[in-house]
This record gives sequence, C-alpha cells and structure tokens, in this order.
Amino acid sequence: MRKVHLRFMYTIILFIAVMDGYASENHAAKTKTIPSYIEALNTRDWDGAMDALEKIGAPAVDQLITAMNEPSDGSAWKQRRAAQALGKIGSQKAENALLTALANERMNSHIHRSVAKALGNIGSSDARDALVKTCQDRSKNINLRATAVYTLANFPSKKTVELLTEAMKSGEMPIQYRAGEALAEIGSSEAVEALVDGLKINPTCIFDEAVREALVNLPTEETCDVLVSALHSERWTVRWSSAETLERIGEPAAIALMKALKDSDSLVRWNAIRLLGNLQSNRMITSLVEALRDDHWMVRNEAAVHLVRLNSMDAVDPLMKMLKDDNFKTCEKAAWILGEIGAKEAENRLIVMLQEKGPSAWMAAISLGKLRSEKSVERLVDGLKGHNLQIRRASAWALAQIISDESRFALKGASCDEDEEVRFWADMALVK
Amino acid sequence: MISRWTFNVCLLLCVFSCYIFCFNSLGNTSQTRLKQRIQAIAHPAQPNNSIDLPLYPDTLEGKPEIPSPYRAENGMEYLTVVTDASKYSLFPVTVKSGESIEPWNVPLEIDATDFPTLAKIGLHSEIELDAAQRITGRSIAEITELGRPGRLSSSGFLCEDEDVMSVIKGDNRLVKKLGLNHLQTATPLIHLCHMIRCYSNHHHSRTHIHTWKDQSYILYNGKKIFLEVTLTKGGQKSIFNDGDLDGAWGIKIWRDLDTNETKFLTERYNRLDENQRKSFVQKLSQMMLGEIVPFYIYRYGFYEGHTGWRADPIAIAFIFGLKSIGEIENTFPGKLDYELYRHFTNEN
Repeated sequence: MRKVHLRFMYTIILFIAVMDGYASENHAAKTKTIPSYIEALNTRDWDGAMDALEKIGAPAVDQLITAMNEPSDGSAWKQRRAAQALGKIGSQKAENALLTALANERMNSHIHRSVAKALGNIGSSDARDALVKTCQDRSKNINLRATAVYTLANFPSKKTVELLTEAMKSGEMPIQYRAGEALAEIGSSEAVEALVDGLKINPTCIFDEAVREALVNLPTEETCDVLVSALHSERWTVRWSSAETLERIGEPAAIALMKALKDSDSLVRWNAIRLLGNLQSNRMITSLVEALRDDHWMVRNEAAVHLVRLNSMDAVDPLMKMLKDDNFKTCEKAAWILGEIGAKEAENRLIVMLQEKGPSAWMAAISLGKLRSEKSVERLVDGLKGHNLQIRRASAWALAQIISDESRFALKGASCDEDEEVRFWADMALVK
Repeated sequence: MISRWTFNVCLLLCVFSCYIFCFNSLGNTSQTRLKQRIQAIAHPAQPNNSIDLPLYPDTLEGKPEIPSPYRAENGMEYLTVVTDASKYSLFPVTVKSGESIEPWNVPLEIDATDFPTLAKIGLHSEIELDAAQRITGRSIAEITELGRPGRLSSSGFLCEDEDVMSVIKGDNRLVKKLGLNHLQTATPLIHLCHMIRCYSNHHHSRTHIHTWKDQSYILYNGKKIFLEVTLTKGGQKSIFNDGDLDGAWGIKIWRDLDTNETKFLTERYNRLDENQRKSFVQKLSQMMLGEIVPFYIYRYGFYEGHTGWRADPIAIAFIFGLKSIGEIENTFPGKLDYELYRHFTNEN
C-alpha cells in the first residue's frame, strides 16, 4: 500500500476515535451528579458548576448546605461558592440555612461574607432583618459587617438610606467605604445626597466607579464642593478620582473649581486650573490668565499650556498687559504663550521686553523667533552681543529661525562665540 | 434526501481534503521557519563574503565570527548570547527608527515636535529645554505630578524633589560630558529589549511571571552582561501622552568589574568606606528598569529620576562598554559617586 493511502487510513481512524471520545464526553456531561458539581466549585471551572446547580435548584439544596458547613480553613472556596449557589437557588430551605450560617459565630470569616452576600441576593424581609442586625452588631467581624452593609443595596428604601447614612458616619473605614458603594448602587437622589454628605467625612470611596457614576448623575453645587474638597486628600487615588469625576461633570463644576483657585494648597490650585482648562471654553480665559500670577510653577505652567491650547485671540490683550508684570516668571509665561499662538500684535511689546534685558527678556527673544519677526533682528543682534548667556542663546536661536541677510551676518560673528550652544545655532542657521 | 452511503462518501472526502490542506500548510510553515532561522550575514573582515549563521533558538558550538553587537552592511543588527550550556545564540536586534514596538503598536521615534534638536543631533539644546512648557501636548506640571512616587507608579518615575525638565536637562548634560548622545545610550537597552521580546515570543511567556533562565550572559562590546527579567501582565502606564504604553517587564542588568576596574575604583575612591564603595560600585555596574525606559531615552532623552528604576547614563556607558572606567572618571574626576547620586532639582 502506498504511503499516502496509509496516512489517509490513519486519519480516518483518528477521526473516528476523536468522534467517539467526543460522544463519550458528551454522555458523561449529561450524567454528571450533584456531588461532582459541588466538587467542581473548588476548581477553576466553578462558574459552570454554579450555573448547573442553580438550574438543578431544590434537589441540590441539602448537599449544598452540607458543603457550606464543611469545616475549612484558609480561603474555603468550595464553602463560599456553595453559599453563593444557595443564594441563587433562593428556596425557603436555602434561606433558612443561610440565616443559621449568618448567626453562627464560629464560621470562617470568608464563608460568613459569602453567606451575607447570598442573603442579599435572596432579598426577603427575613434576610434584610438579619443583615441589618449584623451591620449594627459591633461585636461582629468588621469585614462581615461591611459586606452586610453593602448587601443592603438590594433592599432600597428610605429606611435603608437612613441606615447607610449612619454607616457613613460610623468612623470605621471599611464600613464607610461599603456604605458609600451601597448608596451609589441604590442611586436615588436621596441616596446620592446621603452619599455626598458621607463623603464630607470620608472621601475614600470616590475611588469606586459606581460612586463616581452616581456623583456625575447628580452634579449639584454641593457635590462639586465635596469633590473639590477631596482634592486635598493625601491619597493620590482619591485626588485622581475626584478630579476625574469633576472633569466628567464638566461646566457645572466650574464655579467650585474657580473657588479652588484661591486654595492655600498648590496641588489643589493646580488640579483646579487643569480641570478648568480641560473645559476648553473661552469663558475660562480670565481665570487662566490670572493663574499665570500664581506663586507655584505647576499652576503657571498648566495655565500657560491651556491658554495655548485654547488659541484664542481674546487672551492676547490681557497677556500683552502681563508682559509688564512685576513677577518675571509671569512675564515669561505670557511671552511664551504669545509666541506659541503667533500673536503678531505683541511683536513691539516683546521687542521692548528684550531691549530692557530683564530676567524674562530671553523668553521675549524666543517668542520673537517663533513669530519670525524681522523687525526684531536688530535687537536680537544686540542680545547676541550681550553678557547674559541665556539671552545670547535665545537670541542665537531666534536669529536662526529668522533667515535674513542681517541675521546671517550677525550669526557669522557668533560662530566663534565662547558658548557651544550659541555656536551651534549660528552654525545651524548658516548651513540653511 | 441523500442516501447514507452518499453522506459517508462526502464525509470521507471532506476529511481527506482537510488532511491534504493541513499537510501542505504545515510543510510550508516549517520550510519558511527553517529559511528564517539561517541568515547570510556579511563577514566583518570581508564584506563581499557572507557567512551563514543560525539565529535563536538554534545554537552554535563556537563563538561566531562577528562582534557583538554587530551591524551588518544591510543595517541588520545581531547580539551574541552565551547559553548555560556554553553554546552561542544569535538574536536579531535591529534598531530601526519608526518601527512599531510590540505589543504597544507605538513607533520608536524621536519626539521631533517637542525636541527638534534631539531629532537632529541626538542631544537636546539647553535653550529649547528652558523654553519647553509641555511634552507630547501634556504640561510639564502634569507629567511631573504623574511621575512622582505613589501616582502612576508606586516607586515613581521621579523622586519627590525632582521635576521632569530638570531630570531631562541634568541627564542631557551628563551624556554630553561623556561624549555620547541619547541614541547611543538608548541602543544597548533597545538591543536587550528586542532580544527579550524574541525570547519571550519563542517561549510564549509574555504574560507569565518568569525569570531569564536559558541564557548565561550576553556579549556586548567585549563585556559579559548578565540579565534577570520578570515578565508580568503589565499595567505600568506612561507619564507622557505617547500612546498606549503598558510596561510589563522588570529588567535587572549588571556586569562584574574586572580586576583592573576594581583596583582603579578602590584607589580613586579610597575616601569612601567599604559600604559606601560597595553601594557606589553597585550603582555604577547594575541597574533595574522597565521596558518603557529605553523607549523614553530614545524618544525624549529621559532616563527617569533617581528612583530604583533609573537607567543612569553613566551606568549605561560603563556596563555596556561605551566608555572605559578611565574615560568616565576623567569626565567627572573624583566626583563619580556624587554624579550617580545627586538628584536633579530646579535648584541645580
């Protein structure tokens, strides 16, 4: 027999074997028993087993109760998932077993929390009462109480909101965090108002996505004030989450952010100016220009970058006035923005600024270079001959951008300057 | 309705066609792989003659007749690695500007918009750095805030007292003094990252925590470079607005000092006590970095601030043999320890 034929035969045999294997597997799947599903709760494929047990329903309850109550130490995955499955089945027998488990003081804390969650899923009045009792019993494990607090979101009512409001004031971090999450899950205006009140005491739960979403949906002045206040947090995640929420709220947050520009904390002012800038509205120009006078470099830098991004001619006049500001760092930023947005009308003011040779004159030279100002060449040549190294470098850079006979002539002389950078710009211009 | 017999015949025909198709494609793939593994590399001494050298995962018994790293006339670059079994492996590690860095799909290119001089000569202009207020459209303030410890990274890209422009400026001065440029300092690190990518692709270990096992050391400019890599699932975001970078590697690189280097440093830095000298030598000959850093050096001339994840340009020059210890010491006479430790702050 030829080799090809043999291979063909082998393939057929393999195919039949595989089909047979598939058929046996399929048969086995159909005949899987409840104990095997319960055992599978302890494996990576637990979710499939959980679905199967939920479908089986009442006949699986007894064995699930036994599995949940099996002694365990460590993470107890099987027991926890058995509790979860009981919660999904939700029969009276399952509920009674879960209520008994919740009252059992000696139960593993991991299983206890799964029991609380399962009762939350069942959502009956008995389950609710048991969970409320657990929340309020300070002798219980704090993580169990926090889980119970969270499960109250499954029982949305005025009474629940009141309980959660109390929990937000408890002074216990895990409880406050979970109460915040539960109020956000409930999402009614009363719940979000209670959440905002709670955030005044502890803003940590802003980190939770559901909490942020709830705040975005109720962007009141108070919400914005609370979020701005959270920008003071020592934790970056809280600051970042508050800023992100304020950004999503958008224009309604502007007033709170403008107030924050007067805050004593430079990081709060920086975040405020960043968020106001991100609104990309000409209405923010005054605040952005004013922020160029801030004491902190981060605030000035952020405001300058946003003014360039806005690229609005409305900013030109106030910026030109700022070129005479007492603070040279403010003048520097104003000159940079004018150069970046190509404000030709600022040319004469920038030339004067360069001529005066103050500490920000170098930035005037840079901006004149960006404006390709031929009018300024004479002043730039003066700058190139001066003693101030930064003005010399900036003038050389600017002259290299403005290609004219006069600038070339001046740069020829600079190609033997003592400073390497001045020589570099002269050489760069001369080879153009 | 078709008969059972016709159905069976059709089924068999289908199986047969699948078999023929699979057999042919498998055959083609293995042939292609075989072709790719063997590269005709131009001989360094006789460029007209080429030598056939197998690439990783194939190995050679003896040292290949090419230096490491080696740049062939066609621009291809290769790195020689010595395996635990004292065999030699060649990795293709070509650094090509504009090429897409996997898995980020972000091109390896210099940020010419923000730093035109860096793009022209491989070094920054000081006046351009003084005037820069943003990088990749993001304010210097925001980049600095994101780079500080406990923000995007728990260790930080910068120390609390550093800001991104001061660090870029400080390192630009260091690299310039060393007589190098940022492309030269980035290249050895990009070579190593390309090699790790090649290795992890071969071992399908991109998403597993994993330590470099197979390779004993890497030959680089005559130095033996040791490597320990941890590949994780990622999550380290970039502080710049430069695409979806997602750092996933922890790369520890080091080399041992030879006797002359040890003697030289002991004599020159006898003012340091033993612990101080040990720590100084470690700073000089060892570094820990993520795979985003070579990209940062190439693109912005940013080596990170003085955190535990800095790729100090002096250490790069020393470890990869870009400069000898004598040359480095002559650049910073008696102050090498100071240069390795000092933070780059606004006051500098």
